[in-house]
Amino acid sequence: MTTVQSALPEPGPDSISELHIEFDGRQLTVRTDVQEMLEFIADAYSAMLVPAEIVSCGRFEFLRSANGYTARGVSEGQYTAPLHYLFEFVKAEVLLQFVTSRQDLMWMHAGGVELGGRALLFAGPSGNGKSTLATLLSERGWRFLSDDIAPIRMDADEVLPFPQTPRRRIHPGHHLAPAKMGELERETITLDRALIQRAPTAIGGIVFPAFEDGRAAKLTRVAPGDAAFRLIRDCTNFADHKSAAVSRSVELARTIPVYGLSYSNGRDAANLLDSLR
Amino acid sequence: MLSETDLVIALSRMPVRSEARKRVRQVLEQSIDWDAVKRLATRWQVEPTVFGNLGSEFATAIPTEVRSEAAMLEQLSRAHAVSRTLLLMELVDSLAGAGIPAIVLKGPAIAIIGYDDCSRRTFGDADLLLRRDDLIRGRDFLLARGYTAHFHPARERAMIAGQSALEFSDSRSSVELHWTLVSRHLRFNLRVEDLWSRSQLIQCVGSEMRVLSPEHLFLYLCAHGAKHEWSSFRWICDIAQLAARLTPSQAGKVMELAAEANAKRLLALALRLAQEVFGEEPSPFPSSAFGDRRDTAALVSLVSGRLIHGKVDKGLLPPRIAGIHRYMEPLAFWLRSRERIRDQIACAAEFIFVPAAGDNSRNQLQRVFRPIRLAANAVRRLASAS
Repeated sequence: MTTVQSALPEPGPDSISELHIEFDGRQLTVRTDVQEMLEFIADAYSAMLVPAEIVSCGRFEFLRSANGYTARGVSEGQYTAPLHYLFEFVKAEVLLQFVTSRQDLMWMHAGGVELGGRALLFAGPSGNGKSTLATLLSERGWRFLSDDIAPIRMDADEVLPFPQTPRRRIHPGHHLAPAKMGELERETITLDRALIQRAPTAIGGIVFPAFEDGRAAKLTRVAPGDAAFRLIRDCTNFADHKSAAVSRSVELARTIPVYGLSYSNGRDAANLLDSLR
Repeated sequence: MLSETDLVIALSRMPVRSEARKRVRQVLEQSIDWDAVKRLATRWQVEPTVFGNLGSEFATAIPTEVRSEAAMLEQLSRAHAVSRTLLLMELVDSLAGAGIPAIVLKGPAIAIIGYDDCSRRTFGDADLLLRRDDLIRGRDFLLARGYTAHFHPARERAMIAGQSALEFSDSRSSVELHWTLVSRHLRFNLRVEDLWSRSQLIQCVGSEMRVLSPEHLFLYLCAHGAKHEWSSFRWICDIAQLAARLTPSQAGKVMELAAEANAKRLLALALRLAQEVFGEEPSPFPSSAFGDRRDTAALVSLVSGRLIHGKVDKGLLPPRIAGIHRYMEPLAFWLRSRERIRDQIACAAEFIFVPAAGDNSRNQLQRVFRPIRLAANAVRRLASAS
């Protein structure tokens, strides 16, 4: 793996810098006069940055104010919290901008990788290993689509890449209750640009990973009823589609192979998934 | 009526009726106990419609945190309904593959016909109508798939003869196999061959599902509700939803079927209950279908008192009499729901004399023992009550 050079502009003192994050041919412009935030965004979206806005899909501003920071995007607010608390908030705002601008897509809480023109998605709540599996499979030759959000077309079994920089949890190497997984520290994984999938990809399979301490990696087929339940549950913009999202999830559940993956060791799980190639 | 109750009633319909919309807006301007709304929608099992309507139609009138929670509850309840439907469809398809056709009686059938979407109505047990000749094969099919029967094999023959449902469950679902719509002693007989010949195939989650005709379904739900003393708000909601989708011609057919089955009062009771809960609505039924108000007033008052106003202890019978047997109150309710004395007497007599599923049906003396046992228990309970 190699470090990707981000298109980070050179800001002058107190000047406002702009970054352009691209998704599916449209750019979100982020403006900020906070150097640390600029660096955070440049790192978080390094594989999605482009030099200029061509087709705008929105604008997000994060600026210093008298008492702290002002954020203007889909919503607007004043924030006095320390800056490092606001990093995740800004990521959520950026995502919200894209979701809002592309309500025609079903945005799943899922990571994904590609091999041979087929995508394997990892869906489910946080703390079950989406980022871990996506990055470990990328080390095995699969190409990275996303680690946390998967935009799926409503009219085709196709997922679009959303290759924000993956951040996976650092396992302490000892017994850990599944509920504690979400509290682990994360490490940023820098992927070679060649390992990033750029084109929409047909969905070949969906996996619902579940971390279970002491469990050997095991894949089991999920019945369509359970698969549909989980897909609807993990649809982040259900309100945009409602009945259409229900139908779409049912279609996916019936036509795409869906698996449950229980595991305790990420590398074993990745090896097992790699054997699906 | 409490504003929270009012709100849940109005939002339980799909779509929200235009007259109710104004009322909802008025209620939303007041201080709302949102936990009470959530509890009531959950208790009444109308989460998909209540939370869906809140988020879709009144999003700007509710607090942000309520909006978020409503969206989540709608999403989960609809996911649950779809999941159950797919599970049921998989079973129905497998039964069909084994040469055992089945009619889906309620659950997703009501959801699709009455709410236009299988995810808009949750359901628990699956009720399947099989042909009588297929019942044993249906039982064997379920047992082979790992289901457990909830009846003693020795009682099976009597249960089938008595038109009782055969109940099964596995770790994930419960299934009831029927060959008629209700038990024989209830004296509500729609011709079984008509149920099949008029049944329809509808699209459900990507495959076809056989359901009762809208007319049979409507009348069946009238009987089913009365059988269970209309103890679920959702059943009344179903009646209102389905009525709104019937044409006058279909409503006329329902009335014909009700007349043939001597079940006009069952129909009238259901229509009046829907009217009591949801107010006057345009109806495909003529006023004659609603019957004489006096025939159903006590039952309507009892049901709405229990469901809407929380008068759960209210009953048709004095407590001492109701305490004689757990079935006294439901039986009294059912008898009051029937218009013919002949049916009332036959139903009561069958309850007293014909061995129930819990009796040893192989012993012919049960016809003698059962009334004696019931009478002895009644005397004992009356004595202990006094």
